[in-house]
Amino acid sequence: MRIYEYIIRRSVLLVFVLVGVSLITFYLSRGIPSAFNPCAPYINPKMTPEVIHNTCASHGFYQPLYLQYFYWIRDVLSGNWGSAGTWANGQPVYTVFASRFPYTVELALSAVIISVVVGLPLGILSAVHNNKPIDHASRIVALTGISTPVYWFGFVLQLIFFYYFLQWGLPNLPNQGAVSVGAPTIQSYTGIPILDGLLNGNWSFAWDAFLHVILPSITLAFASLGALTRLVRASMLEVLKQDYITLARSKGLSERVVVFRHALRNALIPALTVAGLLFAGLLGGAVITETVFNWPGVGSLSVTAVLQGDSNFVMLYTLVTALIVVVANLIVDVLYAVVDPRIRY
Amino acid sequence: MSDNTYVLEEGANFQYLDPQIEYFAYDNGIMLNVYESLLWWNGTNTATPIPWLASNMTEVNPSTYVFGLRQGITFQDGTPFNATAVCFSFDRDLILDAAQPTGVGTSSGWIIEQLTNTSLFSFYGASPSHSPAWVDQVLATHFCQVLSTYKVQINLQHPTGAFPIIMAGVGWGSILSPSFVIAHDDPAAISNGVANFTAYFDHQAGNGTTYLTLHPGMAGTGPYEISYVNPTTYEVKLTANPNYWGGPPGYQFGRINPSIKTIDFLYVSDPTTRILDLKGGKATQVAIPSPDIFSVLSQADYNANGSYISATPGVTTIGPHVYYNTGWFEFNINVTNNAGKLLTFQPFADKRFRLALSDAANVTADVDSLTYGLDEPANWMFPPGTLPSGTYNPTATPSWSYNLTQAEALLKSACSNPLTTFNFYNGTKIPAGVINNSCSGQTISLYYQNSDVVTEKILTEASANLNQISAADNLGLTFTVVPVPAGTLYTLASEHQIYGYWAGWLDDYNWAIDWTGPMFSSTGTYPSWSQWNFTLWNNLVGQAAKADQTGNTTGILAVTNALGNSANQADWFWFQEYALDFHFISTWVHNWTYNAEYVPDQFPYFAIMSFGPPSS
Repeated sequence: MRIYEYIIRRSVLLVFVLVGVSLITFYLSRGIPSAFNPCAPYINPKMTPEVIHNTCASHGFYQPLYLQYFYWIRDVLSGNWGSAGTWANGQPVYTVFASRFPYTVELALSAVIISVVVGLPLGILSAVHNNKPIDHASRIVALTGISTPVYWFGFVLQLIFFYYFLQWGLPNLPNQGAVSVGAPTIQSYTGIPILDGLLNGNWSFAWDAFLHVILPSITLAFASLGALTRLVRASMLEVLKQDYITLARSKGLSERVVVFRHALRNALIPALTVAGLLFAGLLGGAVITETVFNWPGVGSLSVTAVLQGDSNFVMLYTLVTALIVVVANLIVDVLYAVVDPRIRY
Repeated sequence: MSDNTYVLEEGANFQYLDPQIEYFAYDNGIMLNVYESLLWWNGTNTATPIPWLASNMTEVNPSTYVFGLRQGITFQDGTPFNATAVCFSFDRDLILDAAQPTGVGTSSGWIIEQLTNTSLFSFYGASPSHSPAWVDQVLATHFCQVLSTYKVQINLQHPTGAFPIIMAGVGWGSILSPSFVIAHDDPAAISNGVANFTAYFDHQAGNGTTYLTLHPGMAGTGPYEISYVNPTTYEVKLTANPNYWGGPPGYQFGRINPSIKTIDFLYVSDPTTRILDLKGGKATQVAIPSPDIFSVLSQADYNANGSYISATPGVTTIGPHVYYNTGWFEFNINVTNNAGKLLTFQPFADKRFRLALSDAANVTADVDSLTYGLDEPANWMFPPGTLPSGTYNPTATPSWSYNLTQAEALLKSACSNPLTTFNFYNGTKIPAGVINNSCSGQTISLYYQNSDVVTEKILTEASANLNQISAADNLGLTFTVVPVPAGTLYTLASEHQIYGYWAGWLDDYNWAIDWTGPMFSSTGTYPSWSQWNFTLWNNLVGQAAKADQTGNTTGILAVTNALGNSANQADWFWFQEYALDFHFISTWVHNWTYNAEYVPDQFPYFAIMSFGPPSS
């Protein structure tokens, strides 16, 4: 099958996946009694039973489930995802999500860049110096990253780089938010603060936004670079054992050329997959990191929505996350075939 | 910390910034610094409101009040404060009909509606058309009448002794600039620079659109205006009103001239981050949950003598003090399944079950262990400081107390001689055989709002103790504890599909009647949810209303005593705690005032505060 045929086939399957996810999510949100009351965001303790009943009825929550799903699909296809509750100022759910998603993109991208920039060389060094001190050190870093609770690590970073640096008279990093309190309002092109700062030519705004993303992205990256490091190491070790590598060495090529020109490309393929899926996963929002650093992304937002029982937001969030994961998988699979000509679908 | 910026970090975010839409404690805290009312409070005096935007108030009779208005005051948009603006504001509140944008009962307009023709309004069971004809009917009640440029008359159909307190209310009592509101809510109602009030009201009735919900606003007369709103991060910034009129002569703190120029409300969900910001000088005031207070306070001092001493340089504390908020566990009867069929097992129709549950937890210890005295165990409905004075009864003794021996005896009795009948909600007896209160194999689930750690502890302890008793005595009964979101709790409770749930009442305005109706009237919120229906209570609530209308505070007190004692002795409500207010602020803040009438008093009145070196 040619690659474009493969893409078309996967895209068609994507629709079925989304329908399936929507059915499951809708049933879980509205079909199970007493679980996730869709009327919850519209209710308060000052209401009498009649008023509560009328409020829920006005939103269609007493209709048969299949009818509710039909109306929901109809509304979604016309761009109406419903309104969030008072916890999000009653705004349209799509508006709430769309305003926060760019922040998650910025954080996810930053974390992936750190993971790749640190994890890749560390993995390569580990493999090339297998069982030597640098390999052991890399293993310690990797395992520490995987084992450390994100909440604790984030707080430690805040404590050191915000609070103690301040106490010691050192320039400190911001501990929360995406920009400083009192930052000027700029034209929003992408919703991503660093990018918008640059596009506005406001270098101090962009720099301020960059400083704010440092600690949360390191927190996120630390957890994932361990996995990436170990994967690159394993992959490199496997490739370095191949006959063509032995041949390259026997031809007298320098180790540097052997590693970077011959081995690395093949060793990177699994890492590419992981990095792609990591980014897709982070786009769903890093709940704990966003909460600790008060990062206005969709991760922390989704927690609030669940605690408030807001099924409208949860359904949008779940569908978008499913879409991201499926598309990311498709892109990774396509890139896999591009990078490795041996791959055929 | 900036010299001119007060940074306030909270774990909640604002919902609406329109004083006639918002109905949330956090929003109130913002509104009270931006909008003003005809009457308000003289600093720390909680007893009697004083004329504020009004220069005087005359009670012609209990149904008629005339307000003279101060002259020379302008709204933040530069337009004049006058009688037209006052009546516009009250009419708008009535016509919004508490119906938008979030639904009936979700804004405070009902507090004004209760004073006039309630048959017109959604909150009182009507189904108004919200048509222009309906608007005409509302306006025809003449709740507010313009007598002259600086004189209005308020006409009540339901007099109340709480009228001055209601007029001093944040939200429903706020006076707004008509031109600013109309220009932003419904610009089409403005023609040749003149606003058409009728067209505006016709548009607003049942409409649901108001631009004041999320936008910066200059519609008030207050010492601060809303200069910045970020609906993504929930940041709200107030800046000092340079043309503020200065407040009334004789105000306790003198002429009001805001020294702090900017107030920045930030939503920071993680308490650890908030604490770090306070310690690092990044925040001026932060909210800290009770279980975390010793990250700032000295635990040693609290353990030694129960005092709250800051152990953090640069941080001081204010409080605790009264906050009109009572929490209790509510027992449902006539419980049905979600198809509406009456369950055969109705445990809390039996007083023995109610008392057994209430006796099975050490509420005092539980409240103290989690709140360190920042909540008080409750002995009945009305918290300390409730008006009229004397409403709170410190000697009231509930029928329950922590007593596991008693709890066991009650449970065994209830299971071995189960209740066979009780009354339906309409008073008729349930036929024999419909109810089977045998315990074997039954589960009683106790619901509460997720994140409420105090209730969780109380109910978890009670459940654990009762489950032990049940196991030891082979009763076959199981108690479980179920946390759910608030909205889910209210829908399940209001449809009486759960046996019991935590409930709470934060008063809207400090007057006993604000409790008696919702708590004890058969058509009030909680009895209608729990399916209680007692002639005695209805009679007493009616008596309270009559006493209130005639200014008979002795009669009000007699009724509240009768109601509270009835609830206590029959264990209709398991009262658990009164919440108290406590604040953590920078030592550089001066003149932080407390007034229990600010509902709630989580937020200060910034206009009289200042920054300066800490007092030694």
